[in-house]
Amino acid sequence: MLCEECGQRQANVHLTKIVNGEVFAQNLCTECAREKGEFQMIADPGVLIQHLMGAMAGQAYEREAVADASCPTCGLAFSQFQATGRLGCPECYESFRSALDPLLAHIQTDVRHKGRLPGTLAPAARRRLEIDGLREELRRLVALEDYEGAARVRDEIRSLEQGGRGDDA
Amino acid sequence: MTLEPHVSEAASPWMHEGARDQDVVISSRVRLARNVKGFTFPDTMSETAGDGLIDAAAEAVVGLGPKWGFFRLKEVRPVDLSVLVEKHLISPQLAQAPRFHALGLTEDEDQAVMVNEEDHLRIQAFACGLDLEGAWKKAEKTDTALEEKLGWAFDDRLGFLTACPTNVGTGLRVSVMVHVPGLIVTEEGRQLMPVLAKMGIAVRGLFGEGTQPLGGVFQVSNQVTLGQSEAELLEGIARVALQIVGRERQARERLAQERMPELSDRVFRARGILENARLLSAEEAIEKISTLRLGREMGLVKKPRYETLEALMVMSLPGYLERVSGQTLSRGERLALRASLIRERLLSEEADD
Repeated sequence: MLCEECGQRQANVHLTKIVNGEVFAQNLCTECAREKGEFQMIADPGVLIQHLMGAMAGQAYEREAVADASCPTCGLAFSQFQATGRLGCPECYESFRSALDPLLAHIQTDVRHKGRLPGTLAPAARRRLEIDGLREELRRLVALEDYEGAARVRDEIRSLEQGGRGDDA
Repeated sequence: MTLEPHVSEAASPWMHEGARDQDVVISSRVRLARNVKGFTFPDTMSETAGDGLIDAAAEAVVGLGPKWGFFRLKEVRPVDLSVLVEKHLISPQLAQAPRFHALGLTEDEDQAVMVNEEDHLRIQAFACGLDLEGAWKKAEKTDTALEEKLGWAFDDRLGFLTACPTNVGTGLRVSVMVHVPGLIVTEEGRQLMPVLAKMGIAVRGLFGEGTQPLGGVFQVSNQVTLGQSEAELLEGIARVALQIVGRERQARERLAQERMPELSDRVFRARGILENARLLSAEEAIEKISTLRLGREMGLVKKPRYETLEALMVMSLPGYLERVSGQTLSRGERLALRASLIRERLLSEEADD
């Protein structure tokens, strides 16, 4: 069987993919499979972090010398995190932001929380996050050409923004 | 409230007959990782801070209602800790260094809160069969109530902050335990597992190591926790679970068409061994219980009940056996006790009606 991608080499990678519930079978040669990134495997989180940290060495965060930085709140050195995959305290996310953001971009869907907010969040912060979420919803609806829905969301954003004046200042 | 019923009974009270897609999905689980504002994470916490956190958690958990119990693990016997691990109520990590750890647990064992594991709190909720929504609703309610008392470390951009960046954001791990003996004997099924891994779905065998886990029981869960909402994560795993259910049923249908005599022979032999053996190793017990479960799932046998099958699994494990006997056992004694506990449970259920 020939590779379905290049049509030249022998297909020796046989893939079955499930995307949104649909099953796709694909037969590729090793070269094309590698090119399409089909060999990436999900490993144990700890191993994954070490691996990514290794692969990303020499990138931006090293130039900024994060490697020997430590967190002012808990004292954890960044090298300790690289060894264990665990941070010392909530503030570490800010202390090591320039190194952690690229890592999060690799292992997570997006570097922006989407979902549940704590009930005890300050009203102004809650409103800001709700508006962020609605703006994304608005973009999605516009892309789907659901203008009626988009108008509704736009009104919702407006009313939140107006309600927020005063205590945001 | 005492820990006694939780470590003396092998099956958890929340397990029952008649749950959705129970022929393939054993249970649904959700876990929320949460940390208390103003404390460093457990790994870097001082002893004093750790004790303070346990005290605060105790008060908050007890405040959840009368069905909750709170247990400081330094007061729990090591053998009881092993049973809690074998029943999947706590992680092996929590059972180590019990001095710094605690557990909140409901009467029905359908919710558990681990204190000072990798994160300050790990809120877990369980449901029978495929019922992620049911498990989620319980965890969500507990999360809200605990947050009022404790206050979570939260960042506008990154969400709930966790010790490991693989949990940050929602802190949510959604998982289903599936029994897929059909899939692992077919070529198609063997291909499915690596495919799931590539989709960002973690698949691991529950008993035994390597690519051929014992008993055909796998845990399927999400890897990503940041950038997707709780609803999206729940839906994603539910969709994968339904895919697996569909594939497993197909595989079983094919087995039934092509190899029925062999299949039913294996099921009834498994029952024969479990009801009659005088010595049973853990490996043999788990394999035979899995085969008997397949017989139940395919309607070849009407008994035992699903919760009994789960109890038999726990009875196969060394911690539970040691707990029942009240002493350290030699290998030979373990084989004999395992066989007799399993035999008695099966025969007493048959005598029931």
